[in-house]
This record gives sequence, structure tokens and C-alpha cells, in this order.
Amino acid sequence: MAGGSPNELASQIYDACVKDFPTDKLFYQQDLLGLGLVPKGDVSLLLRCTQLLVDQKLFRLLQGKNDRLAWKIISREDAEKLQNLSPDESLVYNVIHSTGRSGIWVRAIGNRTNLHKSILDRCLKSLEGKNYIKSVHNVKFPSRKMYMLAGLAPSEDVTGGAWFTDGVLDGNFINTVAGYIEYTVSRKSWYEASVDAGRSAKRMKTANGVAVKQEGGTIKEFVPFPAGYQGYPTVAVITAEVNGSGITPVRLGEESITQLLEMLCYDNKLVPLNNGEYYKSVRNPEAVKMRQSRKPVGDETETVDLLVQNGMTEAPCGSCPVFKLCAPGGAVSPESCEYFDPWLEKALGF
Amino acid sequence: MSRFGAKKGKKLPGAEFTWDADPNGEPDTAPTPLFPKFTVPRARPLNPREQLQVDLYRQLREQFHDGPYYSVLKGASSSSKKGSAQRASFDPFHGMPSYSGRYQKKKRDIPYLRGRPYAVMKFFPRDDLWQTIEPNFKPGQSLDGWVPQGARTGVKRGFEVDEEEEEDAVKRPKGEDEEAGEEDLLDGDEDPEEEIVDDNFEEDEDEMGGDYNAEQYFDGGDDEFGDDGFGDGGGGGDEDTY
Amino acid sequence: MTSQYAAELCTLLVDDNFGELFATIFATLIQYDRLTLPRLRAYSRLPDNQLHHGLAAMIQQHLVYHYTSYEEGLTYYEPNLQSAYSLVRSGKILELIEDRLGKYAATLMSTIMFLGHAQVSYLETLPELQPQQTVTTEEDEQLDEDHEPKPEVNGINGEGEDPLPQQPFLLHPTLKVLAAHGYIHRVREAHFQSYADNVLDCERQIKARPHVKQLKGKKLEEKVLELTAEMLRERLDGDLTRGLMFNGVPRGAKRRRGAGGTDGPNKKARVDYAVDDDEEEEEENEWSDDEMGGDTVPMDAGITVRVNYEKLDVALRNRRFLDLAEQDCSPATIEVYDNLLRRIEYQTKECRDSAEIPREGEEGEQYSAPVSLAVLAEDVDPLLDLTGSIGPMEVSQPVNKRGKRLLDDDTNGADHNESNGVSSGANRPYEVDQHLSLLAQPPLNLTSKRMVHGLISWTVEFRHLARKLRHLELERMIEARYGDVALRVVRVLHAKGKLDEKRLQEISLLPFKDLRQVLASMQSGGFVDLQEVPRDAQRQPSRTIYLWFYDPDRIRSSILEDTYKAMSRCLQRLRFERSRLKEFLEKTERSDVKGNEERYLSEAELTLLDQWRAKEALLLGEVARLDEMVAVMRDY
Repeated sequence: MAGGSPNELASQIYDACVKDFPTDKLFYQQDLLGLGLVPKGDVSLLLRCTQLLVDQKLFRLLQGKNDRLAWKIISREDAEKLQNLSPDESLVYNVIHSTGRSGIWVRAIGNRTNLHKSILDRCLKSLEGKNYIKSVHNVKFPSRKMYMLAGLAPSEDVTGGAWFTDGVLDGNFINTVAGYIEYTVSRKSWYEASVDAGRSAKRMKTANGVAVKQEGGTIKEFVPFPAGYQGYPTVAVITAEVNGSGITPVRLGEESITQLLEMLCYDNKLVPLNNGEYYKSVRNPEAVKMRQSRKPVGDETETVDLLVQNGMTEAPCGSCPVFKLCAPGGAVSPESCEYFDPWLEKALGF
Repeated sequence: MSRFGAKKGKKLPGAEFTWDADPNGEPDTAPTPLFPKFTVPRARPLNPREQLQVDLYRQLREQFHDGPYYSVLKGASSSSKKGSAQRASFDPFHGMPSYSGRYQKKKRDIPYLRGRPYAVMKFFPRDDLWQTIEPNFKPGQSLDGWVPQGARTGVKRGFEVDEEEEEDAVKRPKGEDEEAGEEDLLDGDEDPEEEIVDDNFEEDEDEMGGDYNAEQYFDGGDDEFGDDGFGDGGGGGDEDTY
Repeated sequence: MTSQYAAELCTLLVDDNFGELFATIFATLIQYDRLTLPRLRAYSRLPDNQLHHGLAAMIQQHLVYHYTSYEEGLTYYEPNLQSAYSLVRSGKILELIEDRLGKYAATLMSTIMFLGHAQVSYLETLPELQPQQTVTTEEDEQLDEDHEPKPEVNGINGEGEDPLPQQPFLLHPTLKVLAAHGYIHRVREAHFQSYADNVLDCERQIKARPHVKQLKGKKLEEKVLELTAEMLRERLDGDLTRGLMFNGVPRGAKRRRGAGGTDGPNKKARVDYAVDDDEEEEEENEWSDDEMGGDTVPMDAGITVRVNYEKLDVALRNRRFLDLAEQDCSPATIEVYDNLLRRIEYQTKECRDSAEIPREGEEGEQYSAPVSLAVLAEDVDPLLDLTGSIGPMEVSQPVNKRGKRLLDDDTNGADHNESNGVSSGANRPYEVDQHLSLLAQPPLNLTSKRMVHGLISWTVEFRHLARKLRHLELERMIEARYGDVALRVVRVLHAKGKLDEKRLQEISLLPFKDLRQVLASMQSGGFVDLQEVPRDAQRQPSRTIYLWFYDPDRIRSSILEDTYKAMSRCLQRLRFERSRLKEFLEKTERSDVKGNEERYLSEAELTLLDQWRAKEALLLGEVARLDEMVAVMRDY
């Protein structure tokens, strides 16, 4: 046995731990004794060693189960960083480190460290300046200032998932991906049959948008698959398609895609089958294309005289701003109404 | 959360987060216009089916309008009683009968009930209205020997039986009986529309069921029940004169 | 139904159809609800004469209920809002009848509406129901275009034989057809009393029965309830379909042929098949001879009939289901669905058991009568191509569309198919089943499959679909008013219940700003509500959870009121528009001008008249569209 100094022993212990165990392993006393490095299982010697390591920032002291002491190893680079920190900074760093990818609210750091606010602020500033920590934006608590270690990617809880950029929902990105998904699903939900023009001429009239006229007299017709058809895309298929399409800079997980698929279902664009095992589109590919290309125009001009679809939406009363005040004989009355004339004119053209 | 945001300005805390601030709206201080601007929706043109439905509705409505029941409230006419409210509201420009008025659609002010049989009398309340529909009916008198004494809603007779009896009682030819009320100023013209008459019923106002002329009625058609207890209608018939 | 706007609307409808006198009486009755004659006279300030005649005529039109009380012998009058409202639906009903049963049936129906109720013997005397002049030609047309089984009697007419002896045969068979479909029913005395009066009356009579008198407490209640229901059913029953149904199909029911049903294109298609048509015609004659041998027996002349609006609501509702299907189904599928719905209609008396639409989530499912697949497979037009409109089970395998299509493209094949589709092979039922399965798919689930006595049968979940229709109407309004984003939010709330903003955002994937804006505007419009759940007794805003929710029941009832109001406004505007043109319109209605417009009116006046008619049509059409919403939210 090399009855070296505790220093030597400590570095042996450290090396053994780094070598044989994963970095986030929690070491209890027995674990360290079990390494067989400490002669005769001398606990006090072990404790001296660990204290040394902790002082060198190579070990982090933690409280494990049942209030027993436990340690975790810290990589040498990190240890170097930490060694340069003031005790306060180190304290703060440890607290932030302990919360991992979720980040921690400044006020919570204050509570845990019991540091004065000005000291805390100084610590945070210096840590941030050294690029050890970063401030993150939490979607759940947008007003809270939160920190986490600079090297970590914030968890989905914090960012809100793939659809958030800097804590803000990325509408454009969502729409792009959603549009792509709808079209992709649609292509797999309808059977494309090309039929000779003569035969389906009569079908054209009755089927609203089912048949689509193509140049040159042939007609592209989309017919539904029979019930129980197994070829509709699954989440996995859709995810793979999206990731392979190049429209997303980051790889999207199935979870994120499922979220979007559900949204599309609420939009009445997709329908889940078999409890979400498959997805089917409501519209056929041509109709999807048409709607999507119309969209940008629709935002500005077309909404104005949008062709609406039921009695209430198209009667002037349906969206009348003074509908509640309207009564025969009142100031606002069907006789004095200024909306009927333009309405009639719009519909009849005279 | 929002309360922390409002430090500058005189705005109330949270005012900038208010949910009903409409960026396009007029300032709050402006008086609200009676008819604020809004883009009226555009109605779809009627599809052929809807057009047909509307046409059928109009057709039926026109049938009702031309039918015997369509009646308006009495308008003012120059023949109204002197001093009456109606006389006062008489319109001297449009109310005067004119030559072209002979073609004008006439409006009755009282439904003409007698153009058709009323198949089942018991569909109508006996005490109040039988006399109106069937002028020969006298309250408290038997119809075809059938004595409906007392309230009889509880005990009902066979539906069929009643019907048969009453069918007899009521069946009569669809004679184009002349309206008994006096004709108004346009009395003279012999329009094909004669059937619809501008009646003046002032005289009858307080009488019950006085818009018929029983004699004319009997003249008009063969009465199957002429002898069956109507002819001697002395009873309560203060309005019937024979 | 007695809400302010419903009452306003009904009065307007009465006014529009029957004039001011009726409207005055009706409005007074609505205001006071239940009046004796002297009271009614006092409140309405009408002279006796007018009042009596008006009331009698209104009873004839079923616009007024009356009830003579047992004890005092006084007669009370009540407005019949349901019938008054039905006036607005007359156009729709007549069009439906015309579409299904031909022009003559529509004329007959319209006459019955015009008369309120009428005895068959009286209908016999009416000149407009005699088939000579115009009617005969219409029938001819019909024979060419619509192929009524009914006018086969009349078909002989058309061929130039003496039409006169045939006359009664046209009225009676048509009456029977209407009766068999349940579109008209017999008038019973109880129909003239309001439902509540009928219930009370029955209860009183039942309680007076000796064996009921002996019962006490709960038993008595139950017994009375049971017997009342029974008695009511017996009293109000005007069913005339008995004895007029053959194998579950009313006599004279249109047997549909040709690919597109009643749609325009199929008429052209039919020309191509002229040869088969003739043959089918024969076949059909045979069929009717067998089963409608009693055709020559006229309708009992003593029966009094009126329009059965409840049954017509069933037919109109089915039509809505069909429209729903049309949005994304192929014509062949729709044709199959139509056949199923027809069969179901024959077995459905009314839209619901309960008087009110049950609250959301509290209504149980109510399935329609099941129709067996075999029956349906025979109903479906044998010429209808069922294969081309469904994709294959496996994409890789190319479809063989030829195989089936050969059958209807060449005449031999058609001949084969002719014997009611039986010879078209065992896979005909399978194909029909395929189409029905397609309809059963989400999101609409228009059909549902069931096994009845080991046979595959198909039904329709009425409550589910009625609910779907309701939600669709509301969603359309929301989309039109607040945009598609709002629609997404509402659908999320509807599916998930109450949600706070954060959760709502996660699901709807909307930026906070947009989300709040849209929620706020919907809240002020009354479409979503906010619930506050304080976390402590102080109820501080910062310690309170705010939950958004969407309550379709509440919204439905408020939108229903708004719809009534909007209908009233359209009718009032129409009246106003008419008064603007009063002089001119009176001129066009002059007896000498009417019918001779070309001769008496100037060019400008003719244009004006056309414009007026278009205007009126649009406003009335709008009212009819609003009525469609009322039907969805109140009747279906």
C-alpha cells in the first residue's frame, strides 16, 4: 500500500472515480471505500481526502438519501473555473448548477443562498460575464429572470418545446411546418385516380371539389380509401418526412410533431384515426394546395367579402355591431337600418 | 403580473394590457355613432333549390292573401262614421275612391268563413264560435237532434260517429254566396272580384255573427237540415230575422 | 319557445301570411297567453264580428289552441306558436314534397296548408286539384323526368285517353302516398288543445277512474304518469301510415334510379339508358300491381287531414345529414346514404323523444331504426357504379376499374342488373357496405354498424349527428366573426373542458398576444366564459386561477334567440321595403295589370318589378336560411 499523503490518495480516488464511473454518479461513503484505495477502510482518512477534493472543487458535496453524505465528481475544467470563483460566486454557481436544465429564478437563488440582493446581483453578473451561466426565458413565467449553466440547453418545460424561439411562440415556423404536414398527410389520405373526362363529367357537378379539372381534358380525381385502410401516415412517418424535408433547421421530435398534429386536428384539417395511431386529412391535396395559396391574400382583402356559410353569418344582423340595440320603432330599427341597403346591393348587384 | 408593468404615464395599472382595447377603434371620447361602420357580409345568391323554396313560399302566401281569411284592420275610408277616429285619419289624397281603384286589389277586414264546409264542428269551441261558423246554430239548441248539454270534454264519443253526423249537417254546395254586408261606394261595378268585398260592418259591430243573410243562404243551396230544428230558430236569435 | 323574439317572429309570420287581423289577435294572445273570449275582446279592442270570425279562421289554421275548461265551461284561447312558426317552413316543405313525390303532390300539400285542415271529401271538390289542364301536362313531364311510380295510372292519361274518368284516381293515390309517408296525418280533437291542456285533461280523467283512485302516494303518481302517456299517445295519434306500407316502404315511394339521384346531370344520363328505362318501367308497374293492388280504393272521404310537421322535420333533418355528407363524399356514397336515410325516415316519427333539446353531455345516444344491409343493397340503384369511388385497400396494387364498369356501360350488363340487383352478384352488398363504412368514419360518423339478429344492419346516431350539426353552425359563426384562430381555440376548449391560458396556449400553439385578443373578443361576444378560482380566501387577482371554457348549450340558446331576432328583422325590413314601393306594388297587383305586366308596365317598371322580386326573394331566402339554423338548434 502506498501510504502516501492524503493529497496523493485523494487524487487517486478522484482518478478512479472519473475512470470507472459515469460523471453524474452519486458516491456514498461505501462506494468510495469500496474502491479499495483507502487502507483498512479508514473512514476518517477518507473524509480528509474528500474534504481535500471538495476544497479543490473536484468533488461536490451533496446530501444523499437519509441525510447521508454523498459526493459527485466535477470535471477538471469545471473545477478550474470554480477554483477562480469567490466563495459567494461559487455558492451561487452551485445552486444554479443543481437545477440543471430547468433553470432557477433569481429570487429562489437568493432564498437558497441567503445572500444579500446586491451581492447576489454582483455574483450573477460576474458569472454571466465569465460565460459560466446564462439567463433564460421561461415560457411559463415570462416575467421571471432565470439562470442556468451556460453549457446547458434549456428543457422543454422552460422553452415550451420546439415551437418556441426565445420563449416566444414561433408562429411562422409553426405555420410552415403545419402546412407541410397537412399537404403530406393529404397526399397519403386520398387515392388518386385519373379518369377519362367524359365519364366523370357528371360527377364533377355534384362532388364539391372532389374532382379537379386538369389541363388537357384528363381529370384528376381523388377518391377516399376504404374504411380500415392501413396506409395512412403515422406520427413516426410524418416526423421522418418533416425532418427529411429541410424546412426545419432543427430536428423535431415525435412529441413536437404530435403537438402540431393535434393542433391541426383542432383546426379541422386532420382527423386522428385509431386514437391517434394514424392521421388522415380532411381535404384532398388539390384543395389543400388551393387553400394554402389563397391564404396570404385572404388575410387582407378577401376577409372583407368572404363568402360565409350560414344564415347567421351572412345576414346583416349576424355580425351587426348594434344588433342588441335594434328594436322596431327605436333609434336603431329595421326600418332605419343602414346596413340592409349595402347588403342587398352587394348580393344582388343593383 | 400585469400590474407591475404600469409605471409611466397616468394610465391606470394594467391599462395597457386591457383586453378590449381595439387598435382600430375610435377614441373612447368620441360619441358612439348610431350605425358604426362595419363591412356587411355578402350573402350567397340563392341556389336553385332555395329559389324554388322561396317561390313556393310566395305562392302559398299569395294564395293565403287571395284566400278568404286574409283580412286587414279597417283602414280609414270616406264612408267612416262621422266623428269617429277612423274618419279623422282619413287621407283625402289617397283615400278617395278613384276610377282606377276598381282594379285595385280589395282587402277584406273580416275573414270570409262561408266559402267552405267546416268538416268537424267539434274542432271549434262550441259556445263561442259555432254560431260564427254555422250561422244556423243556436246556442243551447240541438244540432241534428244531438244535444250537447253541459261540458262534455270528459266523455268523448267515437270520432268517426261524430264526424259522420256533422258531415251531414254541414255539407252543402260551394255556392258563391253573396256577401251580406253592404257594399261600399264602389258598389256599382261588376268586377269579377266581386267576391271580395270591401265590407262596412259598422252597423253590425255589436252583434254576433251578423255578417250573413240567412234567407239568402237558404236560397243559395239545398239545405239538408232545413227542417231539422233550425227553421224555428226563435230561441236566442235576436240577430236572426226571418 | 315563448321568448320575446320568437313571439315577435311568429306574429310577423302570421301578419305576412294572413294579414293584420290575425296578427292583432295573435299578438294579444301572445301577450296575455291564455284568455277567454270577453277578455280577448277587451284586450284586442276588436269588434265582436271581426274577432269571432278571426278566431274561427285561426282555429281552422291551427294558429290558436282552445280549451273549454271542465269546471267553469269557459273556453280559453292560446296562441299556437309552433304552427305559426311552421309558416316559415312551408316553402321548404313544399319543395321537399315536389322533389320527392312530384308536382301534383306539392300542389295537394299546398292546398292542405292553405285550408289548415280539410276533409278528403272537400278536397275532391276543389277545382285546383282536378288534373285536367295544366296538371296533366305537368304529370307528363314528370313521367319523363322523375319517373314517379304513382302516375302510372296517370301515365295512361298522358297518352291521350280521356282524362276525366281518371280524376279521382289522381287525388286519392296522391293523398295515400302523402299519408303513407306520414307527411299528412289525421286531425284529432286533441290537436286543437295545447299539449299542457291535453296532459291535464288526461290526468284528471285517469285520476277519476276507480281503480286508480285506490292507489296512493308514489304508486299513484307512477300509475297516473304511465296512463297519461298512454292516453295522450292515443289521443294525439293521427297516424295514417298503417296499412299503407309495404315491406317497410310507403306506397308510391320514389324508387330511385340513375347515378346522381335527383341532380340535374343524371337526367341526361338517363337519356342514354332510355332502353333500360322502358324495361324498368314495366317492371315497376308489375311491382306496383302486386303490392299496390288496393290502389283503386279511395281514401276514406270522411277523414280530415292536415300537415304533419313533426314528420317533415325528420325528412328535412335527414336532408341536412345528406348535405353534411356531400361535403366530402363521392356521389355514389351519397346515393347509398340517401337510400339508408330514406329507409330510416319511413320508420322515424319525430326527431326526438324529449320536448327540449337535452343538455350537452346529458343526452344519451338515440339510434335510428336499423336497416339491414341486404335490404339496402336491393334499394340501391343497380346501375349505380359503386366501385370507382373508393380507393384500393393497398396502394401498390393498381386498381382494376374496368371489371365493374363494364356492367353499366353496355346494355347487356344492365339487363343483368335489372332484376332488382340480385343478379349483380354477391359482392353488391359488400360494396354497399364499403360505402356505408366510409360514411361511418370520423370525424362525422354519419352511420354506424350493428348486428341485428345476426344480420349486418346500419343505423344513424341521431343525437350525435344533431349535436354535430349544432356545433357546426356555432363554429361557422365563430369562424366568420373571430377568424380561424378563434375556431381552433374554441375547439380546444370544447374538447378539453376548462383550461387556463398557459395550457390553452400549449395546445393551441398560439402566441399569447393573439390568444388573449381572440379570447377577449369572444368573451365580449358571449362565446367563451372565464371562471375565477381563487386560491385563498382573499380572492386576490394574483392568487386566482382563471379558467376559460366554452358552453355550447348556453351559446346555442342565446344564438337561437339572436336567430329569431334576425329573422324578424329581415321580415320587418321586407315590410319596410314594400312600403317604400307601396304605390308601385299596388299597381302591379291591380287586377288588370296582374298577369299582363308586359302590356301595362313600362320598361323601367318591369325592371323595377324584377328587382323587387329579387330583393324579396333574397330577404325571404335569408329568412329560410336562418330557419335552417333554428331547425338545427331547436328541432333536430
